[in-house]
Amino acid sequence: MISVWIFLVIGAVWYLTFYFTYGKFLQNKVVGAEEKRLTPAHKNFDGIDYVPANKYILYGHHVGAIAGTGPIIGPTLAMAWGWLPALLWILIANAILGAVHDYLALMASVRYEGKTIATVTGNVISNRAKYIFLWFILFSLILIIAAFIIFDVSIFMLRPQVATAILIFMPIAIFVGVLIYKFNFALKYALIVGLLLILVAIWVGYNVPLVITDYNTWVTILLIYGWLAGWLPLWYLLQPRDFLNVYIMWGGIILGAIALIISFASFQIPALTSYTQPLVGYKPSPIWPVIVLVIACGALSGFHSLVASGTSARQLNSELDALTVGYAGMFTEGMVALVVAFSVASTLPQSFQMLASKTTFPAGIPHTPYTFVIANALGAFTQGYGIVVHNAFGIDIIYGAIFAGLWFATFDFAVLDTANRLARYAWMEILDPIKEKFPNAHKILYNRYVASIIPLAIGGSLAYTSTITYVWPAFSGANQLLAALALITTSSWIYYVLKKPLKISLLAFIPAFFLWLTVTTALFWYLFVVSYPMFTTGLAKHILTTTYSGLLLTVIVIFLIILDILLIIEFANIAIRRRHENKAKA
Amino acid sequence: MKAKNFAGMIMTFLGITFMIYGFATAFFYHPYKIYEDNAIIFILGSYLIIAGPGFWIGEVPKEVVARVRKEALGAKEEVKKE
Repeated sequence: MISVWIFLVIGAVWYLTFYFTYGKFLQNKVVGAEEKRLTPAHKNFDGIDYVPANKYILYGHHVGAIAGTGPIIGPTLAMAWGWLPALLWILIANAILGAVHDYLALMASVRYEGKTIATVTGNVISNRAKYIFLWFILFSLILIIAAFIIFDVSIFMLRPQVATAILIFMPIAIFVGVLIYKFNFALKYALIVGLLLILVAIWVGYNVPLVITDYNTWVTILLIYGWLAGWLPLWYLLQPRDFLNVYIMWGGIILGAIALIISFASFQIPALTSYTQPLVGYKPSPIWPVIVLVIACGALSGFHSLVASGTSARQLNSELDALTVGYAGMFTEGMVALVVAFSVASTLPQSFQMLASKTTFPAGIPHTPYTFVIANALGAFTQGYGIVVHNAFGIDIIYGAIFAGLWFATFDFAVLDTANRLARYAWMEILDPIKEKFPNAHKILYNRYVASIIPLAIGGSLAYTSTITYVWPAFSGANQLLAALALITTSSWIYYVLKKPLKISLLAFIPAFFLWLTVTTALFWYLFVVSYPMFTTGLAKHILTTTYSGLLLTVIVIFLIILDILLIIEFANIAIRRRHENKAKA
Repeated sequence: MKAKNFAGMIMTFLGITFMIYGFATAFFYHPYKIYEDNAIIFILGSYLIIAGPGFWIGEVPKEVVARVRKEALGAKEEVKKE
């Protein structure tokens, strides 16, 4: 049996090597980051959005924002193929794509006054490209909403103890918020109180689970939360909750990594089980190109460019801090993905034995550990984490599993309300061009209650009718495509704005093009093998829910592919036009 | 107190009441659990507590937000100017 700690050490050495070589090269030779150039946090200081932060604290918050839930689901699902494909993809894609993407998106935003990546695209490429980008963001966010509602429902139905704990955790966050904002408590004391109360919430959840047995009731409950969170004044909830979340996540990562090492955990599954496990829509899914539809965060994620450009860029004290925040932040997410993958890979047969009876396998699918991890990814992760922690410290498995579930669900709630708010903003920005021509329609559609219900209604309808094995890959594909397009934008920024030689800009462009090709191929595969057959099967068997979700996923994926091609044409047109302009000037 | 603040206060207290009620019902079951309709009341209570304080106490003054941001982010005292 191969011990997993060897690969944790290899991962750490790999990331450190890239940080001190390729990362420094990007910083010094490509972007030309300088201490003396003022960042937006100083230039536009307002004490709220634009604040020059401590480098390490900003790094902690940035990692909290990007690594909440994404690196959990993808690596867990990918264990169906065996541990090797996930390990290779996480290490390689993270180093040459993910970290480069996050760092360049952050730095491009810093040079554009902390504006969003869509606005940077508008400035570097064209206004049309900006609107295509916004549509992309909107569709990605709709799929995020659907996927994360399904995740929450799954975890609450599987582990009702987590439902109690998180529903008590929310008022705890409010209480901490009131202590901080109303009673002027020092942050550190309020957080200590909050963290102690979270331990109480876990204990209460363990003893008093909250049970709702109907899936649709849970979806409705979460949709109501998402809608309220899209417009309610939640300033007493959001920030304190995010502060507490960061501690839960770091606690989860550190505890998991230490437990893996001191329990001498070893792989309990083969390096490669099969090249075509039924990972997506229970159809045989080849590792290439489908791996991009399975592992998003942990290796690469377009969502990070929204975090980097929307918030972190406004809090950077110095351009030199960006390497730690953006580049090393992505590597940290890679380490989270490895901890998750190894926790699952070292416990999968055991988790399968414990949870197989609680898992719903689709008809015709054999009951094996590899199909179990597809049908019950969250169960495999939380149980695996509980077992690893139990083996290391002797803590009851259920406590570790509840903690892992709470870690997942707290971030899931955060993603749900953030995604809904961001989707509302993207929707409002998309409406700008119709403001003058159709003022009445604009007024209705721009209304914040309407604007927050549209993405939620579409995403929610998918959550009612579909399952994670269909929705997650569609989200993942949209997310990866967003990353490819953000990378192409940043490589254009390097070439056109920073005026670097072509070979330097190709460092970002070539991997971006490979990624774009892989994701586009994967989305075509998804369309023809998964979503469209799902629609036709639903029609043939007169199953309304299958027909609806198959149709909606097909329409969304077709729309994404069209937007993708339009954006590539736009990039090419701009490149040709600028080349002609340069020749004319010469 | 404005109507909005009053509504927020009522929401918060109702939320606390609903959560306590939902929780108390758990003791009718063995093993203990907050079950189905009672669970929905518990969740409703949690939502009311989430929403209530925002209306009740009102917006956080900017200087307080700035203080918390500074503490939370370990922000620099000195802001550089061009």
